[in-house]
Amino acid sequence: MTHVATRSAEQIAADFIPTAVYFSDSDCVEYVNEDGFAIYSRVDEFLTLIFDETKIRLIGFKLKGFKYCFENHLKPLFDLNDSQFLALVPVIEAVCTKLGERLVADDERARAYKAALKLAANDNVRLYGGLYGARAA
Amino acid sequence: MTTWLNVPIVLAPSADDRSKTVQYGVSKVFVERNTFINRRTPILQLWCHLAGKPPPINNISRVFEHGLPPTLTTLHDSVACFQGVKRPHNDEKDGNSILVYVLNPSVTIVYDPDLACVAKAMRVPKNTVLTVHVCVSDPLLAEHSSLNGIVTRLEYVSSGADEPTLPFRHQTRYIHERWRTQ
Repeated sequence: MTHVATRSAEQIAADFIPTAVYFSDSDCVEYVNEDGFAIYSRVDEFLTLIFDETKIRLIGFKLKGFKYCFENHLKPLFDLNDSQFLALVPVIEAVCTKLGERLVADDERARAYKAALKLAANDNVRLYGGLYGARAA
Repeated sequence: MTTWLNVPIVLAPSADDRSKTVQYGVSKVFVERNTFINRRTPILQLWCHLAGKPPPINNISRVFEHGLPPTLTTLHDSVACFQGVKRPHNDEKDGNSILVYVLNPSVTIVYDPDLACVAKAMRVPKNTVLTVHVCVSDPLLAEHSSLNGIVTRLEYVSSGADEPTLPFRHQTRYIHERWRTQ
């Protein structure tokens, strides 16, 4: 019991790693840059922005329905396999391109995508190990 | 898996009939992926708001005995249940099978280490509710026939000023309303 408690204590005290991860059973990629309270704000069927408790400061985003999007639009486009990392800026850009005029016509939605793009670029957000989120070597 | 990562099976009112109880497992993927990046807050919240117990971590009693204790809830405290998340979900075009339970904890728990404990209580911001996503068509369910679904996500979302206990724009956000308590 002592051994388990010690391992648990070490694991729970380790530094947070701000990395995008894929959740296969909810089919979404999520990125947050801090381990704290998070509020999810739906933008549309693909994008959710994540804010801190102030509901003002953007701390992350969630890309939903990622398997479908990856298999049908991104894998051929980027010629990816599961052992590579996937930078998320071109992924969001590809979705913006697909949305096209619908995004241009909706200011609020366009601003949300720009905010996600900016965060992904500033934080150099990548999904390691393709869909499976295995840690990079 | 260490104890605090082993969130127990949770009980919930059925989406079909609120008087009946069903059993949900907690997604191993959700726990493992969050553990992979050392993101602990969602796992601490699973314990408090789904299992209805303080997380089994060192000195957690300090969080509950000093100041505001986190609200302990289970899915039986849900105020509403919706179905269908209107977005692609693996092979479903509109995530029609996903259930969303809504909870209203007033105080939550977050990762915020000090010398005594790694967790801290925090008052939930005004007009914010907790949503719990349950996948009832998970392939893993075949291996665990006693389970009726898998809890795959735990997310705080904003509520509307006119209906502060329910997610903002719930009428259009979800496909079906299964039930609500008020």
